[in-house]
Amino acid sequence: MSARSGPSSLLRRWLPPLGLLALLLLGWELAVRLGEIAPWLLPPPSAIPGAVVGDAGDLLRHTLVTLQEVLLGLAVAILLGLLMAVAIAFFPLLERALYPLVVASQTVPLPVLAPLLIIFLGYGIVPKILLVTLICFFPIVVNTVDGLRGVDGEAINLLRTFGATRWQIFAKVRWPAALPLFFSGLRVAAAVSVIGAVFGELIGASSGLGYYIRHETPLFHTAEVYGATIILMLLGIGLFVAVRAAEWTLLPWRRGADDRSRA
Amino acid sequence: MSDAALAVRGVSKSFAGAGRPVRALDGVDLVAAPGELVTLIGPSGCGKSTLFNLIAGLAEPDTGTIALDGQGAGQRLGRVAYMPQKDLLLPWRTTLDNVILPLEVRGVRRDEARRRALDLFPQFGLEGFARAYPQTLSGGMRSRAAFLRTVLAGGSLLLLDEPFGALDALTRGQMQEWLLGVWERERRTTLFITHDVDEAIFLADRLYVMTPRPGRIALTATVELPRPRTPDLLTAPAFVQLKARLLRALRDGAAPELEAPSLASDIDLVGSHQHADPLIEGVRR
Repeated sequence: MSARSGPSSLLRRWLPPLGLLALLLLGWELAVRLGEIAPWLLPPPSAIPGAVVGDAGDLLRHTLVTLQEVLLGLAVAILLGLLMAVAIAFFPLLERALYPLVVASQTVPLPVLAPLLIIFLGYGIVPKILLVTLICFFPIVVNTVDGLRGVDGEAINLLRTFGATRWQIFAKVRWPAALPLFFSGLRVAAAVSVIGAVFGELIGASSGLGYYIRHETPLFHTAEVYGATIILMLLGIGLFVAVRAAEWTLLPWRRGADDRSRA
Repeated sequence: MSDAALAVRGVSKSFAGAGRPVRALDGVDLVAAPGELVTLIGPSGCGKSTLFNLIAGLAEPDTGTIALDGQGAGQRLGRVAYMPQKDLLLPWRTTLDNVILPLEVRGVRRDEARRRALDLFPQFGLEGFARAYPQTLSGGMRSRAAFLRTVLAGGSLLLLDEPFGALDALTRGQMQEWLLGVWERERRTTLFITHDVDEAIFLADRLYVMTPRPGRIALTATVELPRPRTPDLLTAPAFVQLKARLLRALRDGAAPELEAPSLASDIDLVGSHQHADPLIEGVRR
């Protein structure tokens, strides 16, 4: 993006995590081979790509189902999260009424909630979307509220001396000032969003990667299970990167801010 | 003084402190004639910024009146161009979009506002930086951008609250001269807060010294040093004498003893004790 991200800096950035990953995989491979561990118990990493390719059609279908649930759940979480954040930041009564419930919603364990939602709403896509929403809206709300509140009071006074209305102050100062924090929340949400969908699929579904994992595990198709798990990780990472890219595009003034703080 | 651009009369203001109210301003009188450059000098915490907030309309005085262009009643928000201590340039807006903010608030179309602002960019030393984000500008440029935004805010009165306080001494000197240049072209009534004695004298037609706890006007002086003013003035005898008086007033935290006409100078000083009885010290060479 800037002049700094030449090939050498890319290497410097990606070499440590990739190197560590390669080392871990190597250790795993060696442990399985030297320890003569049965592949149904723990497959060597080298067996996973073959298993994924062998089941590619099924895996692709299930991946798309999970991705759809995650994206819809995230979309609902963004809408709901922003509405709640604005309500909480501007209406003290709503803050007192809403905030404790928002926090409480995060204390209910997913393994308890998921089966209940499936009993209420059936085996379809809706309970999965709700589970994604439930774990994603929280970081969005909390961060956006902080952003809306953290605005410099003097900047608001300056706008008032221009004769600005409350709405103008919101649109021109509070909202843009809160956007970086909103994106911080969205990044966290994107990274954990997959968990909600998979939980729903594990409990009750007829498709999706969670369903696939649950279906393959009793058959001891362990390599396929690992393959599906890796796809889930990649989905989470991909969403995280997508949010980063959106941030980079929509907040041009923030470009380089992270490079600066890292330097 | 119905023709004054700004007339502050007997203004007091208290805030809720720890336990008992703190009196920030006590019976402050201050006048600015149309086109005049008035400076207000005082130590930190003497209530200068409180006074500015009142004049700008961000708060109302407990007692006393504030009249703009002879009108004591009505909304002041939107009628006074206020430049706070911090430049408060919004980091997500380019320099150009920052300075047009007051026009936008008033409903001027964006392209029209941008065109009007761009016309002034050279005069404000900002040419070529319209699309730069403020965090990439130097301190002096940020100040000038904030000042351009203030000028575009319109209104008959400019309120500048230590606008150069954060700048280094050299940049500050340049900005003072530049400000005087702009002011001499535009002749907008300006009230300028500072805690720098040199700055207060160098810029002013009239100056007020404020002392703290509670904030009171301790001294008023008319500065009749010739214009245009240049840095040589800082060492001129008349300047130094006035400076000595201001320093004494600030140190005493009250009105100084006004000296006999032995103080030879080519300035005309109007001193006033806080309890009125203005004394005219008509000392001319």
